[in-house]
Amino acid sequence: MENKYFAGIDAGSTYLKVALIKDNEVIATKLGNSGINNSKTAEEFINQLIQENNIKRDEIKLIFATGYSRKIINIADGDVSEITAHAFGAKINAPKGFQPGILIDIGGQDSKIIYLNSNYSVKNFTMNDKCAAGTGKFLETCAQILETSIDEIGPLSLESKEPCNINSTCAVFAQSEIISLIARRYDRKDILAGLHISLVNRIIKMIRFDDFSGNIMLSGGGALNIAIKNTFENELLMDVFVANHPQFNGAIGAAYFAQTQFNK
Amino acid sequence: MKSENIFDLEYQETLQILRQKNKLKEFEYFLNLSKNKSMYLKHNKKPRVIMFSHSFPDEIVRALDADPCYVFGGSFSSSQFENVFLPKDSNDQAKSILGILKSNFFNLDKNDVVLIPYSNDNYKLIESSIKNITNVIGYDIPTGNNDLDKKRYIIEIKRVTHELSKIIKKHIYHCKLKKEFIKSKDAALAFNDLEDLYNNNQSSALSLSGYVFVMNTYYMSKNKKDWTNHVIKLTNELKIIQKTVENPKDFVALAGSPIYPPNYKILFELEELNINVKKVFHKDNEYILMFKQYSDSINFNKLAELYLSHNMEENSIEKLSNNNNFKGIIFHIVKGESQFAYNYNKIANKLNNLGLPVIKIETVYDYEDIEQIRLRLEAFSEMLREKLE
Repeated sequence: MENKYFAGIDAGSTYLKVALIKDNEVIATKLGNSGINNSKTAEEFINQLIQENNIKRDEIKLIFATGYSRKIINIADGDVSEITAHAFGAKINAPKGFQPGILIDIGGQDSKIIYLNSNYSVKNFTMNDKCAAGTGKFLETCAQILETSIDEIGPLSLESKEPCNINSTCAVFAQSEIISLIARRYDRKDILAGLHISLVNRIIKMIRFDDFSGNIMLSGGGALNIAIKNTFENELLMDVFVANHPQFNGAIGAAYFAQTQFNK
Repeated sequence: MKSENIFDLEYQETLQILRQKNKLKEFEYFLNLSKNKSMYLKHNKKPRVIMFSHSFPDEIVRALDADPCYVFGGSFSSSQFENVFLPKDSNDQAKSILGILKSNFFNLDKNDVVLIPYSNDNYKLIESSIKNITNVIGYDIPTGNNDLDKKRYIIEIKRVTHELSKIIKKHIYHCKLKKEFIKSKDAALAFNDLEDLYNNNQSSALSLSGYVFVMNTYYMSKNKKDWTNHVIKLTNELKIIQKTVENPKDFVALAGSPIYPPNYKILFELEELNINVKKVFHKDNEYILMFKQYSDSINFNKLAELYLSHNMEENSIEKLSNNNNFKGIIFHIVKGESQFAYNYNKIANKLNNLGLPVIKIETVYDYEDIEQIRLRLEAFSEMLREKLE
């Protein structure tokens, strides 16, 4: 029987993610900086995936792109919006026991709240892409000020005993506030915990709680940060799920969308 | 380049795109109505009455033998005109309107009269900024539609008419008002035919932006009778070349802030993304069409009642809820038009309860947010398609 692979490219603002799927199963993923030539990088990643997984190019039946640069990815056969791609991705990446409610995607430069129907189709969505305060970029910039890395801020934040209050709702002012807290000799862990609470509350404000009945799932690079999941749970007093392959949810969704289009 | 020139350039570019999208002989008439900003110019030495909303009957202005001159919409460049005079964080609507009013091509002077509806704080700012250069009459618009509101509104309309009559030194006669009413009714009937043709998707020759533009020109035309005749001609032209297109499954309605040239980015984007908008719930068409079924003899009270009943957002909500022909609603809000933002939640809740998806698209007077608008519209369109499959 002929192998039918499908590829998805998530050309995001910070990272470029590529996923390869077959029969609803994730076969391989690849991640790199977005850079200045997303189209070329995407093509290189696809070729690497072909080589690394010993498959032929014509076994990849369809490639779909999503993300900010989705329209300029030459290797893609089509494109789909991030919202639809993430909803499709959620269907494959949902952990065991997850009842479709909302998917919160915390990306590099935006955050999305996608309300899902029971079959994982998009019921509604809201986005924050005008302000950096609810995005991964916010934490990244703050991590730099606090002389740590984006990978370390989650575990460090969990060590906090008394999180600081970050009152600013603007990413730029929050940075000034951090500098002021450092000057007042507050512990880095407490500042980081405060930052997580500030970011999570910023996203929670966007949620319309009447519009969903299932569970909440996190995806995107932000979902890799354990402190974000914990903070959501503490603030909402409910279990929050993290998607399998959270950072690749969009790319996997685009691949799954390609598969659905192919099978139509 | 001066902001005024950029505004002119934006305007001409929009008209050029409209011309390319609507290759219809009769469409030229409508394009010419706004060419060289003719809608703002003084016409036949008639006194110019500048209006900002549909909340004062233009039939009264015309019956006074004055020239209603609507200032609708704006653009990024028009909002830049006033940067020198206003605080930087003044909102786009106030800046844009003041920009147009104070520009050289408008030439506001002591012979003009500006009617200011107190519908939001921006208009107070506009009033105080132009008081020293022209005549200003402010008026209140009731927020409800009960008997007391009607009485208040009728008193306001009569007061404004009286003041207007004093300033321009003209009297209002019943026969003239009746004539204007008949013209409005004829225009309503003609536009209704065009709207039917557009809504029923029988013609693909008139684009969404073309249809909205024809609607907009009602307020640009100095001669309502002439406009009506050309709408009839355009409808006939469309009927001859009409192509019967299968009704698409995913057509949507557009509601919220009315759209005016040159700020047509949302219309052009909808066309670019092939999102089929077959119903436009804008105050523009409501006000044009409200005369359609009105057969009573007209008088001041009835005219005021008619205008007030169509000033209520609840009417639109009701219409949106009752119309089952569309599959989703795009609710457009121009930043600063707080009344639409305020009404959005009421509308969204009502429509969500009916299972109709609604998306809010907030726009500003420039092209910086075009990617964000595009993504939202694309996702919304995909959501509707998936739902229908």
